[in-house]
Amino acid sequence: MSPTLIALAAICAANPFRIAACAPASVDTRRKAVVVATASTLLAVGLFALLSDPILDLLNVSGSSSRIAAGVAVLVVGVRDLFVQPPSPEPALTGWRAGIMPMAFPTLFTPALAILTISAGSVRGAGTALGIIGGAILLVVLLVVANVRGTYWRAATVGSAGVVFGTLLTLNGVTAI
Amino acid sequence: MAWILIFAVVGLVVHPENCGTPTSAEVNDAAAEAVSWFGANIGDDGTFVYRYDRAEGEPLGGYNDVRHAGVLLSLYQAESAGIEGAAAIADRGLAYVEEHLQPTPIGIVFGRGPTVRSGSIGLLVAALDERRGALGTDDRDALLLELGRTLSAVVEPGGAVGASIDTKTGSTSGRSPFFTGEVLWALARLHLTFPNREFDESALRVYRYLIEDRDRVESPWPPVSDHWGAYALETMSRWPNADSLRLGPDLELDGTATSDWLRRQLNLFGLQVRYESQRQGGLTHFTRGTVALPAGVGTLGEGIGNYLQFLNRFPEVDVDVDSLNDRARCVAHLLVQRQTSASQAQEHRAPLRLQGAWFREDVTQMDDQQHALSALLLLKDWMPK
Repeated sequence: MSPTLIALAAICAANPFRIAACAPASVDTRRKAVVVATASTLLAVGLFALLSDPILDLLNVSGSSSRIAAGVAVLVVGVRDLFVQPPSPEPALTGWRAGIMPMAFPTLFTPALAILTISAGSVRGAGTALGIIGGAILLVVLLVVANVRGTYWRAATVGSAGVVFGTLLTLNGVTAI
Repeated sequence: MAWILIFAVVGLVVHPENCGTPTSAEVNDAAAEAVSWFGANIGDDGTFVYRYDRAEGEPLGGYNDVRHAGVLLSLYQAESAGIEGAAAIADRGLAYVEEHLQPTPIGIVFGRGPTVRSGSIGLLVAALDERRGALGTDDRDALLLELGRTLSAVVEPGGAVGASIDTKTGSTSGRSPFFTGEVLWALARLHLTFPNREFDESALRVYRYLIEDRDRVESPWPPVSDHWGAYALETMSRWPNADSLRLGPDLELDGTATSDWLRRQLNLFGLQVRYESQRQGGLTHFTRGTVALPAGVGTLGEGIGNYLQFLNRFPEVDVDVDSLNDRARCVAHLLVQRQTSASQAQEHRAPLRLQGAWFREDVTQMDDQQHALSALLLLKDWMPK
């Protein structure tokens, strides 16, 4: 489970074009919302990374098998992104609060990102996992800040990459000790 | 909705693993119980109860010479590990061996009928060599050396191992997914015990074949997690000339790179332990099937136990030893948990057929106890005190 694979899987799990689609239209509000979305997602990622071992212990799942779980989750999210339209900006909390809902939850911090964080935290350590996935999230939100358009085709392209990286991650878990 | 769907799919693919950490004493007690099972289930002719159906309360008959030799091996391993009385039981089993030694054009073989299997000779050599160390005796050295010469003769020029030996002509035929490793291990042990008898030459040929060609040529599917190969690698790493052969941190033996093979094997063992530990009855019966044969679970422990010893000798080898330790604890836990206890056995009309044994769907076979016993002995030193 290399850092590159984790980062690529995280980008696909977050899918910048789905986030862009549900971001507020106004540039100022969008920027504020992105800051809020980034902060709350990094907080959630940090928490999940820190608690990765206790969570896996509680679930009786080994670090190796958690890679399979993460891979399958990224793959399923990728398949969804291939077939389901990106979310619309409505319904949403108003103003910068849109950074919390729908941008951070449920669009940026997807279940796939949550499981990927737990797995990466267990395999690579909480700090490293936060560094890799946090870096991937920053890259994703930079695209959103740059006002990219969240079209279906763009989101589906990232989704297809998610299918590939999810499969690779799953195989990585299958062939782990 | 997406969260529910994803967790449902992930839950179907990844199940909780039934793993724990038995203590070294618990593992040793389980091994001692297995030895007691052999003591209670050996006949006057030196054979053991081969298969037993606890639901019917009847032995199911049949016998297998390879497994007989394997049982003797596990009992001598138990004696080496300090379980007293195990060698005495195995020595009784040697009576059956002596009855079934046959001369052939390529040397002495062990087995019944006109065709015998090289695996039975390989495991007999391993058993007698283990006995030599456990009891500190050389009274079977002549037989060991003769059997060793036979094993060298079943190794083909390319390193493949003939599985069956025609006792009249001495010709060999067929392949076995396990005999290659068994014969290799036997030859490796012989070189360790008799370093001047050149058993290393044929051992190295088999080794190269095992590492480089076996999976490609014999195409076993699913791929074999080769616990006998693990025994062999561990033994060869203790050869007096292991350093000059570069069997060390660079995982190279006389020019044969083993690292890919080693990693592939470790992955297979790890995956199988994880999969087996997810079989917990209930719904997992439908998603993971019924539990594996106890012998199969035991072989996982044997493989992992040997690799832990090997990697302990070469800590610089870059593999995930922490995960391997987790799998070791898990497989030891599964074996301890699934063994028939004295109280469970007392509910049966023939408790001695059950106590200390491992059953799958009401049936136990003597190699279930053999492999589980060997695994527990290899793993116990890796468990917490």
